[in-house]
Amino acid sequence: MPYCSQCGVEVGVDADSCPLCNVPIQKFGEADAAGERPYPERYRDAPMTGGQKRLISWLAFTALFVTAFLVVLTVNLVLDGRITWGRYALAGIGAGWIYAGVLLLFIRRLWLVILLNFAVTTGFLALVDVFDGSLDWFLALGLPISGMATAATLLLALFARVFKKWPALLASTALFTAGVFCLGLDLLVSGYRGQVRISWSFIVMVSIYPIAVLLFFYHFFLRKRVDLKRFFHV
Amino acid sequence: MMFGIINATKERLMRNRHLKWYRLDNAAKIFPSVMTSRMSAVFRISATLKSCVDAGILQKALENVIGRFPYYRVTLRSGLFWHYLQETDSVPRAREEFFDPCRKMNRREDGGFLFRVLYYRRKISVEFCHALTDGTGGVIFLKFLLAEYLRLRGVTAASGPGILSPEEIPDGEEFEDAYARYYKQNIPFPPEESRAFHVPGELIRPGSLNVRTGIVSLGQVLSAARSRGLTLTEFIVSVYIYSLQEFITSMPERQMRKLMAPIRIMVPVNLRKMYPSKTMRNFFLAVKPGVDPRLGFYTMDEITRIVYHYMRVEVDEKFINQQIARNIAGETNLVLRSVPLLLKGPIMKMIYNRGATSRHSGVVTNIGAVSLPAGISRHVERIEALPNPNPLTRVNVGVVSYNKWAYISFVSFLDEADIEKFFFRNLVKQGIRVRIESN
Repeated sequence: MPYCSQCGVEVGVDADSCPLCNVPIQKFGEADAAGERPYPERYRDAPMTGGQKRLISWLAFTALFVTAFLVVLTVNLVLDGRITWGRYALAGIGAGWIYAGVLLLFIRRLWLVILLNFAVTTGFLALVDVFDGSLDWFLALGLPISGMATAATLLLALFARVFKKWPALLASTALFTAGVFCLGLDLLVSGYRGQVRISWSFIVMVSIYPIAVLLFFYHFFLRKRVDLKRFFHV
Repeated sequence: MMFGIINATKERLMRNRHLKWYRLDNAAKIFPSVMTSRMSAVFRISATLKSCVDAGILQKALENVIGRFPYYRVTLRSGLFWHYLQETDSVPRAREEFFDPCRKMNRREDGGFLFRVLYYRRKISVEFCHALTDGTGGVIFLKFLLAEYLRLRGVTAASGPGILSPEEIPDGEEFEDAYARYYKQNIPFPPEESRAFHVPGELIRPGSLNVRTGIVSLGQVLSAARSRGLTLTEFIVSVYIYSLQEFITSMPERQMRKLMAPIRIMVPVNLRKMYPSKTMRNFFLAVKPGVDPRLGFYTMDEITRIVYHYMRVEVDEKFINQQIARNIAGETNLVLRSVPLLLKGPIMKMIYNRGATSRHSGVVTNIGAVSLPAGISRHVERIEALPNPNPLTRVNVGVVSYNKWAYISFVSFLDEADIEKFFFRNLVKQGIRVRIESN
C-alpha cells in the first residue's frame, strides 16, 4: 500500500497525490492496477463566473421585455389601428430594459452606471414630453432635475469612496448633499410654477442640517477625545 | 376542457383525502425550511459488499422492504402552518450513483421520496433526509435492505437479531414523535451559548461535496482511546478539537486573532438509549464539548480530560430533557404556530443558522458499532456513514465501526483538506495506522 511521506497515512493504489496534503505519492515499480475507485467518477463543471451569470440574466430580462413590448404593441394596434397610448408604455418598457441592461452588464463600473442612467432618464423624459406635441416641461424641469440627481449621486459615490473609513463624516456629507438637492428641487419646481421661493425644503434643511453639523463636529473635534462607549454607558 | 380540469382536480383531492398523513417530529420540523442545495439535511449510510451489486435484485429487495416502513413511504407537503408527510403509493427506485453524496432531496424527483437508495459497483448506499429519520432509523433500514437483497441472491442465513422481518406489522410506537412523549413541562431552558469558531475557506460549488474517509483498525484506535479512559466517540472528538486548535494556531497572526472563538463540537446522542422508545423517526439531541483557545493552547491531555468530564456531566437525562423542553416549547408556542409557513420558513431559517448552527464548529456523529448477523456479515465488507454537510461549519465528521475497522468520514465543502490533514496526522502520531480514501 503506498504511503504519503508527509502525513504518514496510507493511500489508495491509484492515488497520484495525497488526498490530504497533495504531496505526490512515490511509486515503487508498477503497482497492480486492480485498485477500484470507492466513488464514481466525479461530474464537475467549471462554475459560471459572475459576468456570465449576469449576461444570462440580462438575456432572460431581454426576452421578458420583448414579450411585454410586443403585447403592448399588438393590443394597441388591434384596438386603435395605430399607436396611440401605446407609445408611453413602449417608451417605459424600453427605458426599463436599458436600465436593467446597464445595471446587469456594467454593475462593476459605478461611474458608468450613473452616467448611463442619466442618459436613459433624460432620453425617456424627452420622449414622453415630445409625445404630447412639443417640448415644454422637459427643458425646464426634466433635464435639470435628472441632472441634479445625477450630480448628487456622483457626489455621494465620491464621498463614499473617499470617506469610507470615517462613517460620521460620510453621513454628514451625505445629509448635506441631500439638503442641497432638496433645495434645488424646491427652487426649480416653484420657479416653473411662476415664482422662485423656498418652501418645503426649508423644513427638510432645518431638520437634517443640525444632525449633519453635529456629525461634522463630532468627526473633527470629538472623535479623538470622546469615547462614546464610555460617555453613553448604561 | 374547463370541466375536465375541475373534475381531475376534484378526483385528485378526493383520492388524497384517503391518504394518511403524519406530522413531522420535533427535530424534523426545522429541516424542510432550512434545506438548500448545500445544507441538504441528507446523510448517507452505505455498505460495501464483496461482489458487484445486481441492480434488478436490489430494486426487488427495495420493493419488498418498503412495505415494512410505511412512515418512510411518504412525500413532503406544505400545509398552511407546517410541513407534513403524506403517504404515497409510488414505488421508490434504486438508482446508480452518479452525483456526489448527500445531494438535496428533490420533491419532483423519483416520486418525491425523502430517501434514496443508490448503488455503485459493490456499494449500496441509502441516503435519508433528516426530516424523515436519524442515523438509527437509517441503519435499521439499510440492514433490512441488505438482508432482503442477500436473501434474494440466495443467501440462506440472511436473517438474525437486529433484522426486521417483512411479515411483521409495524408497531405503533415506530411512528411516534418520541420527543413529545418524553417532554417535561415547565422546566427552565438550557443557557444560551456564544458563537463558536468556524473553519474559514471558499465553498465549492453547490451540489458537490468532498468526502475523505480514514480507515483505521478498530483495535488500535480503541486501545488508544482506552489508554486515556475514553470511549471511541470521546477520543475522536478530543483529537478533532485538538486538530481544530492546531489549525487555528497554524494561521498567520492577523487571521488567527480574527478566527479565535470557542471550539465546540456537536456530538449527537441517540436518545433511544436513554428512553425506551422504538420510534423510527428522529430521536436524538446533541451535547457540545469544547475548549476556548483564547485562554491558551490546550494539550491533548487537557482536552481529553475536559471532554471526558463534560460528557459524563452533560449526557444526562435531566439536561437532555431541558433541551427537549426548549425545542418543544418552540414548536408549541402559540405565536409561532399561528404564523403561516410562508413567513415561518425564513424565521426558522434565521433561528437555525444564527442560533443553532453558529454555536458549534463542527459535528462528530458516531453511528456506533454496526453489527450484522454472521450470515449477512460474511458478504458485507464495510459500512460507512456520511453526516449531513453544513456550509457554515464547512466540515462534519461521521464515524462507524464495523468488523475490526473504524471508518472516519469527513464531508467537506472545501477543496483544501487542512482539518483532515491535522486530524489524521494526529492519529498517525498516536501510533494508529490510517488509510485514506476520497471521492
